[in-house]
Amino acid sequence: MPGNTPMTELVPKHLDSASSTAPPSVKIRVRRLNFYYGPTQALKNVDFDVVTNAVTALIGPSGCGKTTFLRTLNRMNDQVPGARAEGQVHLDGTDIHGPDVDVTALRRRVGMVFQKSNPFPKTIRENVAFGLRIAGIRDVFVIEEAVEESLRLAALWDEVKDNLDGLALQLSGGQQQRLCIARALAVKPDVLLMDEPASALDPISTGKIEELIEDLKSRYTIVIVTHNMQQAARISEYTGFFYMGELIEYGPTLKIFTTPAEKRTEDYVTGRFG
Amino acid sequence: MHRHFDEELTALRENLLTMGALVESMITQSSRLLDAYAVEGAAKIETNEREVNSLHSAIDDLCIRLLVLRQPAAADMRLIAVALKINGELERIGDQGINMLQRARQLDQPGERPRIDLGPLIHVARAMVADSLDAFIKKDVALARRVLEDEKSADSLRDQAVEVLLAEAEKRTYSFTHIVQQILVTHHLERIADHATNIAEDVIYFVQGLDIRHHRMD
Repeated sequence: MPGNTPMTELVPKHLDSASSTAPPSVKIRVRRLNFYYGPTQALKNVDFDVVTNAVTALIGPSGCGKTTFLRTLNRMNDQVPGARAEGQVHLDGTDIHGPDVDVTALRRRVGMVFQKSNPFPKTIRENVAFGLRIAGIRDVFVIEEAVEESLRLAALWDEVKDNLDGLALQLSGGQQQRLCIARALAVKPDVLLMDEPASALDPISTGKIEELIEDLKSRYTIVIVTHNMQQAARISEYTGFFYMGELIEYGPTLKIFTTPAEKRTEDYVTGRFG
Repeated sequence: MHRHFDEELTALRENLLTMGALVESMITQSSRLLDAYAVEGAAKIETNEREVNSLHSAIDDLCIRLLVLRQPAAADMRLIAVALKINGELERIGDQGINMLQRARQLDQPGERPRIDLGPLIHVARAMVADSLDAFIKKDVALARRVLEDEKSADSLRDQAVEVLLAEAEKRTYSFTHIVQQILVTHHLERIADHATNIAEDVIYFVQGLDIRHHRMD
């Protein structure tokens, strides 16, 4: 992993006080991860530590492997025919590729929000409750409580509380995306993976999603893929730059955007890549 | 890959160099006027100062425009950040040139006796300004560090000059006003050296991303 910063130096400056000199705790530890789509290698020997309760941004040109990497963190790529992963991905110390791992349970702990909002053609309430019902929860009061809490966490409650039985597809694009975040939060995940969650939204809706991410990071570990480098700089504490399947550089966002160690990172963040 | 942004950054560097040449000229000319005051020389310095002030505003405007519209990162961001600071340092060096001009006017009194030689201090201060700007353009960290070292020489030369002037004051060989004006000149030159030192520190941040101010890298 060329150019990577040792973990002990990864603490953002605003947290680097005398009271928090311990290295940050690692939620997901990735070692020597290789990933293949049939004969094509999409990830090459990636080592990566996702820090707990922080936002980690993944940047890089199209096709560099950042979305593939994101999707390996909750085994979403398992569904791709011919896809194959090698190496280790440990969530809180447990190998997610282990034989005893329940992939559905893994995806509850490691939720995902996609580029295009994808609410079900159901009511707002049913969208949020969906994951709970799949998990076998039937208690109406428990579900109602979870629906409200999730919508509040997703900063959507005030906008939809009087219309919970309205159709989700009638919400605006930004509201639909926040509904998808609420749906992911309802099953109480530890980690949220976000694949360009604001790329299809207008600046106001994007701003709301970014504010939401900042609010959520104290409770969740967030990994976000974004093509918007200003967005990565605004919302993340750590940034990883991928290029042609390799993790070129990973470190505190401030360092990546002010004094990157690798020339390829410098060229990318300054728009010199050609 | 060619970027239009690079042309704007080149224009920014060129504006700073123009401003640097103007303030260097102000130091040279005001130093000459200390030895032999001339009205034409004074007018030239004042013209330079107006140009420096105009460039000061123009460079600030350009930096802010580039920050807002280009949202730079990494080396581009560091260049614009230090350009803003170097711009301020150069404007203050220009102010010191005007201050020296005012001292030259005060010292240009009939019947005054010869002054002590401030040549070495003038030389060091002027060279520090030139070297710091050279280091900026060439991204030469070694030269920037030499400027930091030269600050010690400037301080020593200033201290020596003040010592001599105070001894002369004791002997009453010069008028009180004369001594005060000459001490002020040493102070202006020492401030010029300080501004050059600040530019050299900015150059190191620009090239290496290291903040060495206030002995932070000790």
